[in-house]
This record gives sequence, C-alpha cells and structure tokens, in this order.
Amino acid sequence: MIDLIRLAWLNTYRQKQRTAITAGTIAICTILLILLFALSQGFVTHSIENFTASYTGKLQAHGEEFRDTFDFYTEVENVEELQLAASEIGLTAAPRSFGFGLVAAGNKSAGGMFIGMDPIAEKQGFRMPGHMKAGEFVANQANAQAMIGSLLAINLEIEPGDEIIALVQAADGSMGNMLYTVAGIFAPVGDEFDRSTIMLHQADFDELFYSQGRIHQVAFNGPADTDLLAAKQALQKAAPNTEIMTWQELYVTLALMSEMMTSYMLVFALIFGLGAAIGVLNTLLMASYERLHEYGIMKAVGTTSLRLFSGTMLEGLMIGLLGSVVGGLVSLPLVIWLQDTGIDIRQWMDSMNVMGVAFDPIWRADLTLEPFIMVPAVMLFLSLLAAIYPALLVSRLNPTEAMREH
Amino acid sequence: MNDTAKPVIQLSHISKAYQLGEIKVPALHDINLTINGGEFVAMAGPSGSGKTTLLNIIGALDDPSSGQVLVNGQDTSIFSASQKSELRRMQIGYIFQHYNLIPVLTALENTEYVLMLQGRDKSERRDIAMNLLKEVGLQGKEHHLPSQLSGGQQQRVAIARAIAPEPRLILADEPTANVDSHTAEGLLDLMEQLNQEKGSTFLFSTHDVTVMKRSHRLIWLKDGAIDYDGNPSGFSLP
Ligand SMILES: Nc1ncnc2c1ncn2[C@@H]1O[C@H](COP(=O)(O)OP(=O)(O)OP(=O)(O)O)[C@@H](O)[C@H]1O
Ligand SMILES: [Mg+2]
Repeated sequence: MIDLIRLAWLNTYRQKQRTAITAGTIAICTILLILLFALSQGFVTHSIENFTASYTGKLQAHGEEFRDTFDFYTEVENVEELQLAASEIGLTAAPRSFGFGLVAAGNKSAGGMFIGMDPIAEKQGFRMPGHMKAGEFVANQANAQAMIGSLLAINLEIEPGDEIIALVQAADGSMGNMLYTVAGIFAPVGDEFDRSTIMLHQADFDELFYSQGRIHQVAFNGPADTDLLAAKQALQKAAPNTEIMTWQELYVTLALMSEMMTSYMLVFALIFGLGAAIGVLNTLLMASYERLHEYGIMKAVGTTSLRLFSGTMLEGLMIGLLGSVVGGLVSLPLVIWLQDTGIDIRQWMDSMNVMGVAFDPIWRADLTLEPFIMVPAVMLFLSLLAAIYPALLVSRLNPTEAMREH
Repeated sequence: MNDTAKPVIQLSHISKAYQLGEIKVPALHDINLTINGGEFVAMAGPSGSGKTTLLNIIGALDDPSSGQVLVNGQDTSIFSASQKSELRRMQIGYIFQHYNLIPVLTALENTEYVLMLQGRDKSERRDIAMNLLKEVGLQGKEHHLPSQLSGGQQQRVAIARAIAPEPRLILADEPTANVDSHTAEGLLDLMEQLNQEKGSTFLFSTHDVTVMKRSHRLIWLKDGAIDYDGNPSGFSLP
C-alpha cells in the first residue's frame, strides 16, 4: 500500500507544472466556493439575527388564535410566569399590546397598528431602541410620546417633535382619542412594520384603548445560538394555554431561506467542481498516454489491473486533495477577514431589503465548519469521479500493445 | 535449486495469426518446442520471423491462435487474465528491448519492483536487490534514476529485476539490441553467470551473431516456423 501511494505521489510530482495547474484550478474553485458559501451564510444569519433581535424575537407567545384574528380580547395568560421562565433560561421577555386605529398629522391621515410596550423591557432585549432613524426612543415613564415606523412617517410627513392625533375604538366600545408628541422615527425593520407602526408606552396604550393591561404578545429574545426547541418547551410549561412559537415557525419563508442556501451552495459546488474535474480528467488522460510504455512494462511483469487502477485513482485523489487542502487553508484567513471586517455595501447601494427584512449595510461572512468540509468533499468526490475513466483505461491496457508505444 | 530435468516450456502445434482489419497476418506456424530447466537458448531469425510473437505467447502476454502452451507444466491457454498476471509475477522474469524500467523509481526500487508485487518483506527484498545490483556491477548506482544510467546500465537493472524473484524462466526480447557490442558481451556474461550459478532458464531473441554464438542452443525462425534447432556451432547463417 505504501509503495502504491509512493509511486502515485512520484508520478503526480513528476509532472510538477501540470499537477500545479490542475491543483491550482481546484484550489481557486475551492476558495471561491468557500467564500461564496460563508458570505451567503453570513447574509442569511445576519439577516435573521437582525430581524429577530431588532423586534421580532427568537420566540413569541400569543393567546390562542390571536395571530389570525388580532382579536383585542384574546390575551396572553400567565405573563408573569412567562417572564420568570424566560429569565431562567437566559431570555429577555417583552410584553406587547396591539390595536388598530387611525393616526393623523396636519391634513394627512393613515390607518395604523398601535403597539403598546414597556420601554425598559424593549431596551433590555431588543436592538430597535438603539436603531432610531431620527429622534429617540420614548422615555421609561409614560409621557404621551409616540414612535413611528419609517414609511408611515414619510406618508404623514412628520418629524420628531411633531404632534399626531390617534383615533381608535377602545375596549369598552367608546372612542379613544389622544394627542401624542413624536419622540422618534424607527430605522427600517421590515416593510409591514415600517408602513404601519405607531408605538406607545404601555401606560399610554392602556389609556388610549382602555385595555386594562391586556397583553397580546410576549416576545422573547436571546443569543443567536439559543436552543429554540428547548426554550419553547420551557416557556410552554410556564403557560400551557398560550401559543408559543419560534421565529422559524412564525416566519417560514425566512427559515427556508437558510435551508435553501445549503442546497444552492451544493449545486454551485457541483458546477464549479465539474470544471475542476475536467482538469483532473485531462491531466490524468495526458499522463496515461505519455506513460503507455511503462504501464505496458508494469503489466507485463505482473502488476495487476487492480493495482494500476488504484494507482491512477490515487493520483486523482492526490491532485484533488492538494487543491482542496490548499484552497481550504487559503480561504480560512479570508473568511475570518470577511467575518471581522466585512464588505460595506453602502458604497454600491443605499439600503438593501430582502423579503421585507432590512439588511445590515456591512456584509459579513459567517465562519462555520460546513463549507470547509462540504466544498473540499465535493472537490475530492469529483476528482475521483474524473479519475475513474483514465484509471479504467490504464488498468485494461494490453501490455504488448502498450509497450510498442514510446 | 531448479529441477533441470523437467521441461520449463512445452509448445505443441502453436500457430498465430494477427487480425488486421479484414486481413489475417500469419506470424507463427505449427511450432513444436521443448525447453528444459537450466537451458541457455537463443532465438534468432530475420525481422518479422515471429521471435517477439513467440516470446509473448510463451510469456502469457499474448494468446496463440491454436496449439497448447505449457509453462512449468501449466496450460496457460486456459488461464484467466489474473492467473496470467500471477504467472508473470511469480514464475517468469522479463527483459525487454529498451525502456524496461519505471522512470520515477531508482535502480534499487526497480530491482525490487516484482518482489514488491509478490508481497515480499521490505528488508528481505532490499537485501536481495542490493546484492543483485552488486552482482550486475551497479554498486553505488542504487539510488540513481533510470535517466541517470546508461543504456547498458539500465539493461543490467532490468536483468537484476528479472532475476530477483529467482524465476525458473527468464524471457528476453533482444536484450542487447540497444547497447554496443562491448556492453552486449558484458550483459551476456552476466546472463550466463546467472544461468550457471542459479540454474535459471534463459530464452532470448537476438539479431547479433556473436550473441547467438554465446548460446548453448540456437533456434532459428523463418517465416514463423522453426528452421534450425541445435548447437550454434553447427549453424551457419543463410
Ligand atoms: N500487433 C500486430 N498486429 C499485426 N501484425 C503483427 C503484430 N505484431 C507482429 N505482427 C506481424 O507478425 C509477424 C511477426 O512479427 P514479430 O514481431 O513476432 O517478428 P520479430 O521476429 O520479432 O521481428 P523483429 O526481428 O523485427 O523484431 C510480422 O509479420 C509482423 O508484421
Ligand atoms: Mg521482435
């Protein structure tokens, strides 16, 4: 076996230039694919993290069927138990209330979604309070202040400091009617949110809707690597009659994006890899033709077909291994750099919006093990695949015919 | 060591024709021949008389069109490809006209090659190869690549490789064709010495009259048939 490997290596090394070119092609394909993979993965995970951490949370609790009906009277039970359970597993909890209504500023008016929330809980668990487009987040104490989604602010032509009038149907059937000062305008989060949100302090919301402290949603946030299923179980235990859902269940298309990425990358890898494989095929075929005479000798003195076959396969493996290992090693620092520094896409476009989710202006790669295993594995697989034909050719040589070649 | 009484090669009614498209090229016609263990036989004849063809058939590198080949008593015509490969690996030594060696392996590794295929122990085969290279006069050249050796030196490595597993039969197709007459004499001395000392049977083809004269038995082929078979001293070139 060692002799077989040694001979394959000597033969691979013998055509230094050709081996270098083929292995180099494989290395370049490997690097490109790993970078593409890491950047795509970075794109997806950052989009998701951006999305969940700014407002949505990793999990949400709602009263049964609230998400379908937005029924004002369907509230979350056991809010305090949920908050306690969340803090026990390292999640923050932000209780929220929702109600529809009209909002007017000057002679403009629009329908909107009023959200009541606790500024302290939001600041503790979510990024949005730190990401205002203009103005600032409302004060911790209720003070008749409101914050507006970025698109709604444009539609109403309002800026921080302006006044808006809210007109809603309150819980008791009466008309709620209040005046608020705009404290801030949110940076873009997602189309729906940007177009319709008017966010109030929970106490102001209660007063406007006469809602008596009804909570419609508790959003839970935590680190990106939170074990969602375990968290879901723990929360469900604290509130058995409440619907607990992970962001993956709430936003199925977004979750699919992440899964599809791996399949896309596999297809890309196969396409790029095919090019590399043709290089391997070419190299080994040329080598076989050049070495017909010596293969003839080897076979004549009793080398088995299997041995000749294995030798050529090993040469393919070595070229593939050389290329993908070099490619992987060169990619590593590049991916680390792309993760730490990233690419500032603001130099090409103002903002980027994917599936209604605003994207971080710095595009960063995500360093994971996956591409460093998957891409070289695909490259090796295709190199071996490409080696089969030359290997069969060599193993089936007729020794007397082969020896006539020089 | 070798049983000289027993025949190493027995050919009966061997014929061979090559198929070239529609045309049949006759190469051998009704060859009957027995060579015993320990013989030192030269095979000569005009170009195209069938020397290479006959050596290839004896060496299980090619199949006869008809007739029976026995090598060490075994009928090779019923052998499978892998049995033939094993026969070549275990029982026959080969020396070809030129470019006998694997270019990326050193003289020592080339000498060891067949022993390696046989699965011999590393230190054992190294010892055998080192000794043989010394015997063929290549001491100090063990680690040279074939490209760093002269044609005659390369042929000596090929002889060492063929003899290393101590096969009963060594087939050589014009082993001296690519070397000068002085080197040819040296190679022949070596082959004869191995024949005498180890009892290996040699069958080699040649065009060279002095080489023919050095054999103990001369077979003259003409148009694919045996024209003379006997003592080289009793033979005069046509
Ligand atoms: N592969 C082949 N295909 C067709 N005909 C062949 C083939 N090999 C040999 N022949 C023919 O068979 C005959 C015998 O050839 P062979 O090579 O055995 O002769 P040889 O005695 O070795 O000649 P030389 O002294 O030139 O080496 C020749 O007529 C040759 O043309
Ligand atoms: Mg010939």
